[in-house]
Amino acid sequence: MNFINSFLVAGLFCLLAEVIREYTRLTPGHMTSLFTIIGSFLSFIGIYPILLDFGRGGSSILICNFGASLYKGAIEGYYNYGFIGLFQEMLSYSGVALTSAIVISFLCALFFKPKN
Amino acid sequence: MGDYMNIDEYAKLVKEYTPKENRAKHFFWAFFIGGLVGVFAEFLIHCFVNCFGMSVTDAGSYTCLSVIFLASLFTSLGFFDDWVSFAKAGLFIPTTGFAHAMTSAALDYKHDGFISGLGSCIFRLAGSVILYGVLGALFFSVLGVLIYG
Repeated sequence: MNFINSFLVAGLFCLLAEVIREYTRLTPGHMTSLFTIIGSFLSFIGIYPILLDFGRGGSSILICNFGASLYKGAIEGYYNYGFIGLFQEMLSYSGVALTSAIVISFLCALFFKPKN
Repeated sequence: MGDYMNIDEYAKLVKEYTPKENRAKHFFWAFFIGGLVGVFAEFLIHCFVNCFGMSVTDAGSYTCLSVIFLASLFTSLGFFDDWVSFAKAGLFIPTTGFAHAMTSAALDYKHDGFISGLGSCIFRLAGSVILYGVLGALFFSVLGVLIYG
């Protein structure tokens, strides 16, 4: 059941992105930024935690989850440390994606040559 | 006067040579491939929880790392670009798109040197996600603190 839910959540977000892209001619850069902000907005109105329960794998792999985890870190930082916690803890949950992308892309650039 | 076409013929010719875009097909493949990436992530989480006995939170982090690793590796090997241009939103809305943007920028600017090439251009494509993600999350978290207390 979890697999079907994951398929639906991830597929529907990608479908929505493709529909917006086809009708507005925005580039992939615009779309990923837009969906990151949509992710923070959805966790602001309380929908994204429900999506994470519903389709765990599917919703945790979307770029929306990056925005949602930024929001989650900032809010928890505010409750634990006050105002400065917003800045201090914002990257605490999304640091995995950021750090691993930086390290792995650097290693790939070291060991591989660009094609063409 | 020369042998010009009239406007109707020209319009017909333009219509004939404009590539036809099959939107329904694009929508289907974006939905299907995006869904498959989600199923793959769910499968990895199951593996990490059941085979290695991790907590669900740790398994989610390891899944994120594995998917980013695979996307970067496939980009470096050269065939991920074709996949992205085929599946479009199906592969750039999942985290694979973020990894793909960073790795392809890193590979492209590598020949300009490590500081002025790789270091300064690695975020050329993926930097907008970080910039607007942080600004948006800051905006919504301040709003959330003000509204929810």
